[in-house]
Amino acid sequence: MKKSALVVCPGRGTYNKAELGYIGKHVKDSALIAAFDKVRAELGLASVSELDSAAQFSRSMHLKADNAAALIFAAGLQDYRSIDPQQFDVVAVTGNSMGWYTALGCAGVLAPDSGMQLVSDMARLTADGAGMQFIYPLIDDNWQTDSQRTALVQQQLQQHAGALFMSIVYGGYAVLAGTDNAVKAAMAALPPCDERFPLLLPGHAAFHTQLMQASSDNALALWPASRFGAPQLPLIDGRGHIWPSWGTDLAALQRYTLQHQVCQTYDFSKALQVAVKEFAPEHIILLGPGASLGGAVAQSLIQIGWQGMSSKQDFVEAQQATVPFVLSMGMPEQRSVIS
Amino acid sequence: MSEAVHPWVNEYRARLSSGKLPLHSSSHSIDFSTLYQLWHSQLCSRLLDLQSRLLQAKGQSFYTIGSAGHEGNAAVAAALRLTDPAFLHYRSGAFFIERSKQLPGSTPLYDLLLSFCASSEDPISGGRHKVLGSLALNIPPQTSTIASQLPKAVGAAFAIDLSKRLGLAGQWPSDAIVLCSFGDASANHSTAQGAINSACWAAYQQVPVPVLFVCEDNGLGISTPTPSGWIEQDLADRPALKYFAADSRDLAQSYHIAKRAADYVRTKRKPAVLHLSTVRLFGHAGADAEAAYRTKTQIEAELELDPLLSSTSALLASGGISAAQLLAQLNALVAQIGRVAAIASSRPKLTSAAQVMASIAPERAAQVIPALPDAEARQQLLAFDQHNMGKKQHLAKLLNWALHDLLAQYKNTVVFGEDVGKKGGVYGVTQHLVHAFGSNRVINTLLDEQSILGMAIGLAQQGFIAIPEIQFLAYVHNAEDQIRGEAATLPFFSNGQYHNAMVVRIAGLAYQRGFGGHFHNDNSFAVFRDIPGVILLCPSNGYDAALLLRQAVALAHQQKRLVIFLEPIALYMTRDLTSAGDGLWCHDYPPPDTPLPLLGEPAVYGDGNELAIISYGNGYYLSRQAEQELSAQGYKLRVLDLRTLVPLHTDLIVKALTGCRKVLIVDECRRRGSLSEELFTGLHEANPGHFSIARLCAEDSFIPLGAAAYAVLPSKQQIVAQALTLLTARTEQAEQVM
Repeated sequence: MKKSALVVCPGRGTYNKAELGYIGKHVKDSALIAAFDKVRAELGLASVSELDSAAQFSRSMHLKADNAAALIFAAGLQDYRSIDPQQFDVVAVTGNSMGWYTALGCAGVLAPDSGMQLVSDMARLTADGAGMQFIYPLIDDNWQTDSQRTALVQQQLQQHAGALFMSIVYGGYAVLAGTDNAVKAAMAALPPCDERFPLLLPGHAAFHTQLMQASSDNALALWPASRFGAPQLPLIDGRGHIWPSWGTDLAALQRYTLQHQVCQTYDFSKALQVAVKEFAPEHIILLGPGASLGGAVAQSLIQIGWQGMSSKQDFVEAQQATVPFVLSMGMPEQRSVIS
Repeated sequence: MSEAVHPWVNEYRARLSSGKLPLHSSSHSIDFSTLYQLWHSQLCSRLLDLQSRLLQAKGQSFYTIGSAGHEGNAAVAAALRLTDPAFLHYRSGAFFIERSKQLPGSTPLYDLLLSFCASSEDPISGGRHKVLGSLALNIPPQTSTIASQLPKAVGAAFAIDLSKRLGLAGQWPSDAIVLCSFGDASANHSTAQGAINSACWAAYQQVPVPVLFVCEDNGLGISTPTPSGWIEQDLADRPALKYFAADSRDLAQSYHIAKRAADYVRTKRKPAVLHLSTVRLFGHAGADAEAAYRTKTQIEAELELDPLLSSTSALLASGGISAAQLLAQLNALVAQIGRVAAIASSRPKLTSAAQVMASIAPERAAQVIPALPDAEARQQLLAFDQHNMGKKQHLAKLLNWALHDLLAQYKNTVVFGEDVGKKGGVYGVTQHLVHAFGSNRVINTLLDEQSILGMAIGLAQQGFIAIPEIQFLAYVHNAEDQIRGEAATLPFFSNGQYHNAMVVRIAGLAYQRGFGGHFHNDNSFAVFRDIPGVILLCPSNGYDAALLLRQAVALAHQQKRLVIFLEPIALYMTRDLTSAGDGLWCHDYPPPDTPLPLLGEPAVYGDGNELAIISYGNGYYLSRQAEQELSAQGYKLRVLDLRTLVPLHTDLIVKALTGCRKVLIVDECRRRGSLSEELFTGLHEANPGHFSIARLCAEDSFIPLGAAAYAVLPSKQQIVAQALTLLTARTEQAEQVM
């Protein structure tokens, strides 16, 4: 019997040194990668194959916005196509941040080549955008809400109103973005914790904030609604809105993708929570590259007590099942179950 | 997942495969995206209904009155805005789902299934009832099956425009309209008729009442058919009420006509009714054996009118989707709802009385009391009565001053009722208020207590503190359900998310020198005594009246409580206690900064230990007369004025009785069903055998005219006599509970 599955696409920052060669290692459909490479060549950008097969990981090359986005989109879409349709029935798809573009690709709103062009365009349009982005935890070691940290973050948002924004609600983490000054001030004001936070996300502009307005305007001009197709399966966006597999208003989907999503908070936790409540999937499949989505996904589930999970320990124990509820394609042993 | 499916699903599958569908024809067009979305909402609603029946068979769902046949109301939802409050009929699943699509992040399938399964995680009622409701979706929950939500819907519509006129921010924006749906059977209910009449009465004189009534006419009241054409005859020709009609099986028509109706209400700020033809499928509820009163042919013919079939025809006729694709969508949705149901049915339930009761009157975070106007402003406010300032006054006058202060202090208070304007209310308590605060805050209404109380609920839900006046206690009885079934239950069924704070002033009780007879002297407020969450205050004198009224408004403001304020008519103008001109029942006006009494704490007169008399209202007044006489005889008494009659705070009463074991309860209400019963029981339960208690109550009679009225009411002489009996009883007898 097929298992129902929710597919979750990762955002920026998921293709790092450990992921070098990930695409080539798992390639199943060379035509897909060729199509990606063709688009990149037409855009005058480094090809996915070239980047993925580089001898070594280079921060300047692999983390460059339009390269990183292309690698993440390609890896994600390839992973999606690797899901064994005999075993899994994908009932809905969502994503985090730029993972939304990958989700559009998975749902067939954008053909692979269009999707590659969109992510490359959006990366270039937003990379030059103003501001910075950083991440800070709102939870404790056991993934329980830390009211003090939450209050401190809220305090910073109020203090820098209009210059600092909630960029992504990411499970137990707040991703904040804003002007350089506001981000620096907030990072200096928030007490350091867990050895690495507050953590600046290198190469990231003030994504999902109003500082992206110009990028959004350009994107809307470049990408009319006519370039979007009807979703082939339900999509859950960064507000928790469900775009059905039929009857979607493509102009509205275009506006959301290129305007709202670019300039407003991306609530990944809400997207995930809506997806599990409304589709009750038997499994959640996290696409690669990497496996870093797992924490935020688990924390989002814990926040609503999904399947009785109320702590990190609960999640860890639940994951001991022969076929865990959350399956990550970036983890070889779990990938083998899926593909 | 191999979940069982309802036979309808297989029948629908077969229809999709075979193409055996009704012919599609519509005078209106609709785009594919909207049509598909509506069909999807309809199908979700249908499958949820069927799922609820499957869950019920497994003992996991507890409500099976469904929306089957009424799913065309999704088109009405699509025609309205998210910010239009919707007071929904219980067959409105498709409306609810369709509206949820206007709010990203909504999870209607999961939420409704939690509700069916009475899970404590149900986001609206917290597992207390299956209701269609959501704070975020602006759908206040209704449990009504008898159209009792109509008066408050009219009240809410009035309140929305009142907020605008007064420049106050309300729960709902100033361009919102109110949607209120009900069935053809409940359209006959006097509550529905009264509410529609009230909307017409107001609109007829150009008062804005932007309410869209939707009568979902399925032609059946459980087993009793609605006469053909009855609803149209009844509703199409009402004064100032615009009539629209649509067949809900035609989604395009329903959508466009609902939009026209909504636009009319929104732009004209006048009421309208949308007569929406529907059908009822699968019986009244899960337990309804429809075959007992309808023929098989009738039932089968009705199934052919299934709105899902006509929507399917419309979708296929649009060319946007094929039957095979619809079938795939159906199968996906059946599986999806089965999975969600399996999760929802496993979620926790309420398990203790404390959990169930937590939302009856939830403790709310402290809210600042608005500042009083300064001394100069207050002086100007009360200048109309300058010659009386600084002098002791009777109860009605002090209440009037307190109302002036309260309306000045709380900008969101509204006083209303029949005659509260220029006339100053039935006994002058609201005199001059209209001059001071204008006709938007002191409002004459029609004489219909259901509508007055409904208006209070609607105003309160919009954010006002409603202060309605009910002319006589007896008049509240024809409208009690607005308090009992509606206002009091709102926090309970919404897990405290919705509230309707108000202070209902009621002139009541007897002792009016034989004038007026029963209906003006009614001496029973038992109707309020068993309603969870209701507070009933009753002053016996002007000083306490002012304090208690301030307390009532503070409770409404801070704790969102529903307070009944019972004013003893006979004491309104009473100035003297024992002899003409003694002025002992006139009191000073408590300064506005006087501390409020602790809720439930009785006022205590005297500190004698030989006997305590417990009373309230007129009984307290008479007890004070009796106390004077007994005191002159050398007895040491104390007299307790309960002031808070519901709920009784027995602990505070027992505390006030410290050192006193003989107790006489003087209750001006009837021996059977009066407060005296609860008080007697409560004192005994608090300290078994400790108190020696006697009761003096009114007879179990109605109040006649003339001097005979006093034959059935406790008198001062009776109080004295009964007190003496207790006072002179031998100790061993006194120690027995009488």
